[in-house]
Amino acid sequence: MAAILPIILQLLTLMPSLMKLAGDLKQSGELTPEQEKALDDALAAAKTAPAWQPDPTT
Amino acid sequence: MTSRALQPKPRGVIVALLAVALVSCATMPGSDPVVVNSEKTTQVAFDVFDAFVTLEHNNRAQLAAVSPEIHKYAEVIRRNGLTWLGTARSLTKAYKTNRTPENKASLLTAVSVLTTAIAESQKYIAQANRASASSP
Repeated sequence: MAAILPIILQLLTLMPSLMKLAGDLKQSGELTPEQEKALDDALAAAKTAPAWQPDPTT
Repeated sequence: MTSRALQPKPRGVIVALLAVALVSCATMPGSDPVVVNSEKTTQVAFDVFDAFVTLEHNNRAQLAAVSPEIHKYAEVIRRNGLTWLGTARSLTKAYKTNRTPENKASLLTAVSVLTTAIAESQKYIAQANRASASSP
């Protein structure tokens, strides 16, 4: 149980992402230039995010 | 507080949201459905990929015990996900500039790659969720 608890807590931390997802889905038209920039900036930021770095041991 | 009380239901939420994302054809008048769908899919793909790699990164040891396949697919996303997303963005911009059948076909192919990866990522997120739900 103790080993699984962090996973449960992590799943709870996904909720903000899901709320953002819900916001994205409200989009019914093409992205505005500001929204396009925000998406491109998020993609660029992910390149250096720790969670996105490949595991060097695999 | 018990683990049952803490247990979220992300799988159901994700399935519902993806169903809306991938099936919905509602677009604003004047908007090109191809562009709207590709931009929406790109946004959703990034959100799902980011959630998946973050979940796996923060719980690597525990999830490896559940299934080594979770780590393997997280690595696939880490090594290819941003390239797939970048390709979809570039092809979306190209199509918006020049709406030819060729550009449309290339964009639809890129979106299809993202859609497949979304489904695979969601499958492994659900696997992690099932593991947490079935724990004593």
